[in-house]
Amino acid sequence: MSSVDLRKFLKKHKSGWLALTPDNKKEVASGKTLREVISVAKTKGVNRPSVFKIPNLETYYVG
Amino acid sequence: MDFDYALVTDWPKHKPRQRYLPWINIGIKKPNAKETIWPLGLVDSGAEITVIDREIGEELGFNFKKATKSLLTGFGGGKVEVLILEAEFIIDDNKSKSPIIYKDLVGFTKNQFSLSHPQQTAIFGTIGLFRNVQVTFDYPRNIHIERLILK
Repeated sequence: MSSVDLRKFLKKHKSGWLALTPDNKKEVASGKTLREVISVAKTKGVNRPSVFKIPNLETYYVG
Repeated sequence: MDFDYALVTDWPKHKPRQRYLPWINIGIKKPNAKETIWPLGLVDSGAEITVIDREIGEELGFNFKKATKSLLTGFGGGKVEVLILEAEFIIDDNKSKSPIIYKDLVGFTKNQFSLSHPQQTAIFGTIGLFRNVQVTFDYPRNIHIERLILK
């Protein structure tokens, strides 16, 4: 399997929520709130968007 | 079910660093409700409980007044307040015949994730994921999830 390449989305956005297509390959909406990006995604015909908040990747996570 | 690792780049000291992270989409919904949200979150066997951003719980209509409050402690001693409720989880790679669906507890963050935390959306831990399914990591190619068969 190949990896899901999120680099272009993370380079473009520094904060807020993102909605992508279910395969995480295309951006469908970005915005300050989750509601906003889900709403825009649905108007674009993406009824099951993948959603996430822009992360801070400059630190490693240990849990 | 098979999921890809996510490839990301960050820029510590202005130098690019590429990382493969086990981030996958798992559907979450209020039990017996219709709407499902599919956050992209970290599959984390070191987390005792699944933690999801509060905004997702609010959007799904969870009643936080009925939640059990708890304080989670992370490595290094950081504390996060969570509101624990039962949710329905849906695992679907869009290729398998039928999704894996189960109910389990989830902790919604009382406030936002700490801004310094590398994950801001969801962390899928033992409660909410690993005690319901078998997960195999094949870094950096594949995360395989199948139904847990209890012997």
